[in-house]
Order: sequence, then structure tokens, then C-alpha cells
Amino acid sequence: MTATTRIKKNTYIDSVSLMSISTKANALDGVQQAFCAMGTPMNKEVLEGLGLVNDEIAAATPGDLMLIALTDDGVDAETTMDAIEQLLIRKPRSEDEAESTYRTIAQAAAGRKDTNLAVISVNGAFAVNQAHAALDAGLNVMMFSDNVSVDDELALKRKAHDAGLLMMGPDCGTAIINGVGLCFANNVRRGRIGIVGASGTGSQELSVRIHGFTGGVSQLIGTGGRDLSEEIGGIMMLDGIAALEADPGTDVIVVVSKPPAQSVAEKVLDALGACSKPTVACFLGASPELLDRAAAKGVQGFNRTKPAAIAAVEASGVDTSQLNLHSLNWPLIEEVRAKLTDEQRYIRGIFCGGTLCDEAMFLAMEDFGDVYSNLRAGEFHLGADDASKAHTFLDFGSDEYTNGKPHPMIDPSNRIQRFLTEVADPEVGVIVLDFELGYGANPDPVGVMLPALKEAKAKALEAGRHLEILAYVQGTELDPQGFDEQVSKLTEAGVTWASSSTNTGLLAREFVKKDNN
Amino acid sequence: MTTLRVLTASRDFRGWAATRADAVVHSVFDRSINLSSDGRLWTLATRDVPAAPATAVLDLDDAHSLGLVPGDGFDLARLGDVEAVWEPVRPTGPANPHTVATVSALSAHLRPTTTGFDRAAQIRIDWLTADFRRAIATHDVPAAEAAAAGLLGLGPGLTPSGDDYLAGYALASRHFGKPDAAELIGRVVAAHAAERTNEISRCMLEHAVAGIAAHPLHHLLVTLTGDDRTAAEAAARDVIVIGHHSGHDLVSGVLAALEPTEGSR
Amino acid sequence: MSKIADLLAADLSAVNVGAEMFATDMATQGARVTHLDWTPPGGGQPDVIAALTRMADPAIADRIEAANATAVERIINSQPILVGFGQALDVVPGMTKTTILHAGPPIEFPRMAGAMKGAVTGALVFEGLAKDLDEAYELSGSGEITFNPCHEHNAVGSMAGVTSASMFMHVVENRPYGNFAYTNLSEQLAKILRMGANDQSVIDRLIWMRDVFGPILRDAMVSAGEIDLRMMLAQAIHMGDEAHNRNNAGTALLIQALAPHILESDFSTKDKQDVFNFVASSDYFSGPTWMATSKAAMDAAHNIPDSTIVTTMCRNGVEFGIRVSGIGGNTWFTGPAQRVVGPLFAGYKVEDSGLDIGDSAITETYGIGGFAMAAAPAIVPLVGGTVAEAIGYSTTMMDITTATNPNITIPLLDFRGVATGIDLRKVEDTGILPVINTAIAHKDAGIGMIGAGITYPPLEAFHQATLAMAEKF
Repeated sequence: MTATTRIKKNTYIDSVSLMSISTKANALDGVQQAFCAMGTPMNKEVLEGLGLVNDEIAAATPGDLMLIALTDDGVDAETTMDAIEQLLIRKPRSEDEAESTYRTIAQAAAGRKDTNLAVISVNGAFAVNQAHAALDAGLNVMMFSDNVSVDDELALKRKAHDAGLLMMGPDCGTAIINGVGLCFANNVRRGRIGIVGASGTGSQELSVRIHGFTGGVSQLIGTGGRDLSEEIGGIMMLDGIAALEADPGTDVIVVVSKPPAQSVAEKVLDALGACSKPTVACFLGASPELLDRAAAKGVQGFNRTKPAAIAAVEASGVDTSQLNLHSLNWPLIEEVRAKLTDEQRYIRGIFCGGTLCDEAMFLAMEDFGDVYSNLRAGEFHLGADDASKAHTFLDFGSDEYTNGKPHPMIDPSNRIQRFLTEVADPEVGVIVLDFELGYGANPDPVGVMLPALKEAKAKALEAGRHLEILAYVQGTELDPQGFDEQVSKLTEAGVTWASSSTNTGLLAREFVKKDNN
Repeated sequence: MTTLRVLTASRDFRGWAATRADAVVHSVFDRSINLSSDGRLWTLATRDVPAAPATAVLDLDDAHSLGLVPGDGFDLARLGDVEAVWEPVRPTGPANPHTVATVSALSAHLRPTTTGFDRAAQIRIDWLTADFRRAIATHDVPAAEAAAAGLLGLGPGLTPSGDDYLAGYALASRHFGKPDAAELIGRVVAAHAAERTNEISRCMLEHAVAGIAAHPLHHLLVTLTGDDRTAAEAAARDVIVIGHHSGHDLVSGVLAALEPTEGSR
Repeated sequence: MSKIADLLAADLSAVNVGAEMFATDMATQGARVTHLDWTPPGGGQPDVIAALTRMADPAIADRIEAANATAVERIINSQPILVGFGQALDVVPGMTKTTILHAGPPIEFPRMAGAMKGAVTGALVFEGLAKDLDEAYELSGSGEITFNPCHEHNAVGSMAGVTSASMFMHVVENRPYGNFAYTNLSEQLAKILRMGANDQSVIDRLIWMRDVFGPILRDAMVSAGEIDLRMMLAQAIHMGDEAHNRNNAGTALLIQALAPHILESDFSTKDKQDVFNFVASSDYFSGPTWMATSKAAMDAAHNIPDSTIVTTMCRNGVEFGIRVSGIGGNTWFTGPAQRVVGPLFAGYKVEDSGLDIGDSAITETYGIGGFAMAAAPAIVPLVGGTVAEAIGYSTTMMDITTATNPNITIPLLDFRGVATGIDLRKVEDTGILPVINTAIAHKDAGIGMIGAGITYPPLEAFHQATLAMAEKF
């Protein structure tokens, strides 16, 4: 990628034209991104934040127009800049450039013939009709909305299946289609690994790990969390697998989910086993039997995300022996154990991401019997208002916490409150937090929690004990929030950060194990 | 050379034009021409442009039809007598909170979409405007000045978004009994605008600090004092259509000045 | 699987409904995105949503679809024929010497808008029931005058819609269904009774219309027999009218059809000349004709059980009222009359304009007027907006109607029929309100028309109707 700059001295172009020039410049062949803005100091700072300042830009004055283009390698940047400059030349006003306003999906689909996807995030009570309208108009659907009945979901997915369309969701938080991240998605490299995911943050985790291990994602198809239930029967998971099998851009197929209903698991494994491409199944917390059945059908099965990601990148041709796979940091574990008192023996996980919570919890359950969660049923269930008990893992993204409030990835106030409560408990050894980067997420997720993190550290110090805070930042260096920036904020506050969701669960579990047990 | 009819002009334009012989063309757009004279800009606008400070509206369809390019001289004798002097309407009472709430909802609804650079800038603008409002609400003058200085020249557009926001804020403050906020913005503009933003934007800010802006903004302020929400919405739409982001940013500034205690989003 | 494969092989081009940030993020990544201007069904009101859900039950929805198909078939197949002109007392059912019909839903005299009060008092003077306007005002509130909506007498009235016993009316027969519709004659100029003007010049003109204009037209129609209004309307639309605010073509066609018969009548040459000059003085002459045409068609679709088709939209200057086929009868659902947005004649300000008034929205209810804007690009300067918007109105209305009318087509839209049969449920589901082209009257009595523009009904009226409709199932 090359960044090229041109400064037009004392050039004044009205704002509407600037906007339209910017849009057209972005659409030029070989242009990844193009910016047109006045050369004011503050705008230069914005560019500095994007790593785009050079001498020319530094010398621009507020009356100058800055043109910046990020072009693909091999593209002649000067020719591209010439093309952008051509756009500055005034042409007669034309009426048909006016953007149409559409009120309904059917209108939009009819008005813009190339429309191929509807992204639906209106309240669940209205979302079903919108999704039907989209499918009826021949559009694939990404349905972020939740609170949709099983019957409605089934009707939508059957309709989509019959029409050969994708029906991602309801309650589908993430997808990457043709390199474009939808709703909550991380900015990952394009590549040859296709993912079908029934769990949102689980799919994001795989995509981020694949990116970290130098692999790339061709497509990430979400199905919504209920797809692998008995009632829905995995309709979209199966269609997704078939789509990736047929997709010439995909070499490896990965599925990720909590353990499916048994009959559905068979169907999914059968479908994967029948693929001509290498396949990987990541069923979080899956029993050894399920993994054995996968192996029997020629599918590599895993119950953790990280090994699944490693298997996928290996299958796509990456030589992982050359990579830092971030094996568990035992010296760190010893160091933390030494700082904790005997009394500090419990993990408290306060999560935004459901699958991240699941993974850490399943790993704790492998070693501990007293693990409580709002995600568990029966005697180990904790309600939204219940105090934490022993090892506790809470998913603040689930309905009982979000009811009426934005998701904690956007509005963290509930989670911060709970965090400060946990800090005061002398039995707590480690508090586990996750921070999600990417599209749709808070612009500075660590930053908004930083005062609380510092306060917690100070309080524990006052109380004469060490408080271990373990955090996981789910993101890539391409995400708009800046991965390094987020991690350095954590480090600055004395927070330990883990390199993957799997490592987060393992570290937390090991930190609180006592040498005598 | 034929005389150009001046349909309306602001009082300051008429005064200026009467005492000068010529000026230099600073910039040319489809619907306006800016003239530069002693460090200030004066605008010749086409018929469909609303009246505004330092502006003359001419009997003209297309500003390019005069064939002027930046750097040309312009003989002010080409302008005919000013046929009508524009007097900005001014609100005579406090803003009606219900009407403000209606416009606020409309404004949120019409927020322009942003991409690329604009989006990166928008994140900063959101933070700085929140800082600015918080500082004003807590009478933290140094913090307010710092935030305002940060907004100068920030963001997309010919008049960058941050400037539009400040202009809206200053204008509404001036007309709704908060001269201190307008003065504060005025100080920041006087101290920094010359280096931090372009001349067109600086002139807009100076006028706004003095309580004058384009006619649609004055009309909006007046409708905000009444209880006719439809009229206020229509007035807000007339402002929002200015520029690409500009109108929306101006309205945001006006609304922020009217709701100083609302927290950041 | 082909559509999924198509998706994965093409550039992403998305439509986003809901959180705008998702659209922004997609656009940032270079995808083409349309963010919908979406509103929740039923305005997001829980009781209305429950009513809509009830009506979406498949068994009920089937009944509604069948009923609506019947209603729309009757609208489309209606063949309104002009069969004559006659005085209201003689032709309008239920008319008496002391009855005043008015536009819009029912309203008692004290609550009437300024323009309507002005028209009522002027009409009472014209009828000789009061010697002057003051006396007329007193009489209006005395209880001796019966006030009724035109719509409840198979009639419509433009603007204030005030119709009194001796006024001459169009008599329109809807041939296949046998129902009749009535409306009075255009007064042409701006300072007229229907706009609330009521000085002596207005009264004098009404007297001439009663004594000369009406009788000549009556005699001409006796000679002409009948005029097929639907065919003439279709032709006028092809000639650039939308038949509510622009009637240039329709007026030319109508007077062309009447002219030979006017010439044959027994009146003096001077009277005939006066008639032609009067018709030539304003293009609005055929405006009421298309209202009666529309009324005839819409009444044929009223009272069909289970149908959610809107059969009436009208305003009295204070309230906007609608009637729905499946509720039937004279059950009105109302909300506040809205302001009309559009250019005003020189010298008038927005504050001067009265609220939306008149039965003329029957044209939009039928599918012309605002619904046929694409046929009349020349109207754009009058009502404000652009040609692209005018086309947009006509196509958008197809989202809230049941069918298009093949008998009235728009050349610019590849001869698609006009949007026909407003479905209450579709208005609620999409939040799209019927668009209405209309004139703007001064808010005070006695001044008249001061502009023209575009307006919409209040959503409340549709909410009430939806709740009442769901009760039926």
C-alpha cells in the first residue's frame, strides 16, 4: 500500500462537492481510501492519528486543500492522483446525482438493482416483517435483531433456504461478506479460510486468531445462536457450509458454535465430512465423544478456539512452526500465584462477549466444581441481581443485563459497576475482563474503563493485597480503535493482558490454583 | 459592462461597497463568489442563496457566468444600487423547550453519514464537543477554551465541522442570553482562527460571535421560541441543507447552546 | 444455492434498516449502502401494533385481501359519467333550503375554521336567508341551519366546500354500479366563497352562476346527453394534468366537449360569451369535475365488509377525516388538519396560511392529484420541489396502495397505472402517508387563496381507523 499526497494551494471547493469528490475518489480503481480535506492543524492531527502525515501535509496551511490517496501496490499513484484532480474540475450540475431516499426494503431493492443484502437491526418486534420483505425481494439477510420467536426464525430460514438465500440470524452479531465486516466485526485480512459461526464473539475470535496467525478470512457467515438447536435443525449452518464448499475463494471451512443438539451435530459433521475441502469444527466445551465423532468423519474437532484457529491456518498452507503461537506463560503464572494470599482463590469473569465468557468458564469447569454463571442452568445458575459465588462468570451481553440498555460493548456502565463490586471481595484472586475492538464497538473500550481499573488497583493496595486483573483485547491492528493503543492503556494501569480467548481462560484458572492443591 | 442588480445585501456589505472601489476575487463557487478586502471576505451570491452577513444577493443564476477566477480584480462599480437591505430577524424571548426537543430529534435523525477521514475526524469532534459542553456547564473557562480551540478547523468540509458547531453555538448563545459563551468563542477565534482555519470559515465565525449568520439560522432561532414545531422542523431542515455537513453541524451547535447541561453521548 | 454464490462473487451492496452506525461502518469499508428512512409500524404505538398483528393473522389477512380485491376492482371498474347539472335542492339527496353542506368531517359552526365560517355566512346571504354577514353569523349559531359534511350526501366540495340549496351541481352517474356523485361549480378566481371570501362581488358572482352559468351548463348537458369522465380524465393526465392542482388540459377538454351544446342553448350571445370568458379565466374549471369523478368511484368501494381500503380523505380546516370501506357508513376517524407546505403568493407569509381544508383529497384517494404527480412535471414550481421528487411521489404511493389503475396511466412511468386503493395497513406498516397536492387558503375569513403546496394526513386518523378495524375481527 502506498500513500500519496497532493496539496492544492488556496483551493476552495464547496462542502457538497468535496464530499462527492471524496466518494468518487474512493471508488477509483486501485484506491483503498482517499481523503479530501482542508489543511487545518486539527485535520492534520486527525491524519497523524491515521499515520498519514508527511512533510507535504505538515506544510499545508488552512486555506489549502489536501488530497490523500492510499493506493494498492503496483498501482501508479501519480496517475491515480491525476484522476482525483480531474474530479475537482467543475462539471455542470446534474439532477440524477441526488441520492434517493427509500422508506422500505422493497423500494430500495427495486431502486438499486445491485442490492444483494439487507442488514436488519430494528427492534425484534418489527424485524421479522422486514426480513420477510427482504427475502421476498430476493435479498440475503443479516439480522442483528433479537427477541424473535423460534417459529418466526424457522419460517424465515425455510423461506431463505427454498430461495437459495442466506438468512444470517436472528441475533447474528457478526459476519464478514466479501471483505466487508457487518455489525460487530473485526478488520481482518482477506484470505482463504471460510467460517460459519453460530456464536458471535466465537466467530470474531476465530477470525482474529486466524489473522494473528497470518491467515486470512474469505467469508464469515453468521447463523445466529439458535441455528443448531433441535427446532431450527442447523438450516443456515448447513447452507453456509454448502456455500463455502462451492465458493472458489475458500480453501478451508471452519464452523464454530457451542455444542449443538445431538441430531444436529450429526448433520453438521456429516456435511463437513462430505466436503472436498479441509474442515475444522470448533464446538466450545464439547465432550471428548463429540470430538471423536468429528474425527471419525474426517473433521478436525476442537473444544477451544485457539487450537481450532491454528488447525485452520495450517490447513490453508501457513507454516505455523515459524509463528509465535503464544504458549502459556508459566513464569507469569508463578509470579501471580506468589502475590495472591491463600484467601484469594476465586475467579470473577465479567464479560461483554458471550463466547469469550463461555470459553473461560468451560476451561475453569475442567478443574473446579464450584463455577457459577448466568449462562448455566440449575444449581449453578446466577440471576442478574445475585451476588457472585466462588468462581463466577457473567455475560453482560445477555438479555437480563442489557434489558433496555445498549450492549456493554457500547455502554459499559453496568459492567463497570459490577467490576467495582467484585474488587471489594477479599476472596477474589483474579478479575477477568474482555474488550472488543472492531466495527460497531465502543471507539475506546479500554479508555472508558481506565478510571475504574486504576481505582480498583488503588483500593486493593489500600487493603494490603494484590489484585490481579486479567484482560483480553479481541481485535487486530487494523481495527479502528488501534490494538496497540488499547493494550498500552491496560499495561499502564497494571493490567495483565492475554493474547487469546483460550489463553485468557487458561491463565485465569492457573493464577488462582494454589501450590498445595 | 452591464450593471449587476443587487437584490438584497446585508447592511455591512452596503456600507463596505459604498466606500470601496474594487476588491480581489478570493474564491468562486457555483452559487457564490468571495471577494477579499483588508483581510475580510465579502460574498456575491446568486439569487437562490439566502441573505447572510457580508453578502450581496445578485440577480444571477450561476456565479461562474461572471467569468471570474481567484486573483481577478472586481470593480465594485459593476454593482447596482442595493434594492433591499437585509435585516436579520431575532428571537425576542426564550427558546421553547418542547420545540427545541422536536428539532433535536429531527437533527439526530438527519445526522449525515460519514466515511473514511470524516469518520476519524467525527470521533474527535464528538469528544471535543462533549468536553466543550461539560466545561461550559461547569464554568470551567480554560477547559472550554481548550476544547473550542481544538474544534477550530477540525473536520470535513469547506467550513470544517468544528467551526460550524462553534458558529451555531456562538450564535444561539448570543441570542439566548448567554453572551459569556459567545465571548469565549470570540476570544478563541481571535486568538487562533487565523492559523487554525481558512478565511471563509474564520469570517463565518466572527459574524456568528457578533450574533449574525445566514438568514435560515435566524429564522430557526425565531421558530425555536414558538410552539409551532412543524415550522421549527422546516426551519431546521432549511439550515441542514447548507453544505454537506455544515448545516447539520450548525444546528448541533445551536441545540447544544440551548441544552448546556445535557451529558455527552 | 445460486443466489448465495452470486452474493459471494459480487461486490457487497447492502440496504440497512435500523442502527445507522452499521451503514456507516459498511460504507467506511467501501461497500455500497442505502440506509432506509424507516419508521416502526403503527408509529411504534403498542395498541396499533397489536391491531396490525391481529390483522396479519393469516386467516384474517386472507379475508382482508379478498375484500380489498373487491373494493379495488370496483374503484378501477367505476365509469363515472357526467349526466347533467342541477340545483342542489333538486338533485342532492337530503338537501333542504336551510341545509349547508361543508367540506371535511362533521364540525359545528363555532369550531369551523375562518375560511369555512366566511363561506357559510356568505352562502346564507346568497340564499337570502340573512340580509347581511352579521345576521348570517348570528343565524349560523342559532340552530336553525343544518350543517352536514358533503361526503354524507354523496357530494364533495372543494376548499370550504360550502354548498347551499340553489347552487348548481355536477350530476355524475357511476354507470356500472348505479351510484351518483355531486359537486358544485368552480368559482374560478382566487377571491371566492370556497376560500372564505364573502363580499358583494363574491355574492354577485354566485348569483350569476345560479341564474346564467348553471342553467346554460344544464341546458348544454341536456343537449349533450352524457360525457364519459373517466376517459376524459385519462386523456387529461396524458396531457400533463394531475387533476387536483393542475387542470389546464382537463378544462380545455371539458369546455371543448360542452362548447357546441352551449352554443345551441337559448341564452343570449352575451351570456354565452360571459360563460366562455369565465371558463377561460381560470384553468380550475374542471377541478370540481374530477372530484365528483373520484367521489363516484370511491363511494362504489365503500361499505365492503373486511376491507381496509381508505375510501375518503377530507379536511374541514380544523380536522382531517378519513373513512374506511370495511367500517363503512359515516364513521369518521380524525386528527388535526396539517399545515400545507409550499410557495405562497407574493406578500403572504407562512403565518397567514390556514390549515389544510377541502374535500379535494378525494382525488388522491382515487389515485390522481398528488398520486399522479409524475404525470404533471409542470406543477413542480407551483407546489415546490423537483421533477425527481414529483416522480418519487407517484412511485412511493404504490407502496401503500393495493393496485394500479390500468384505466388512468402515466406515460413517464412507462404507462403504469396510478396507485389505487390506499390500504390502511400499508400506511401503518411503512409509515408512508398519502401525499396530497392542494391549495392554501388564508387563515382569516374573506381573503381567499394565497398559495399551493403539499401536505399529508395526520397519522392519528389512521391509528384510530386501524384500532377500529381490528375490533371487527
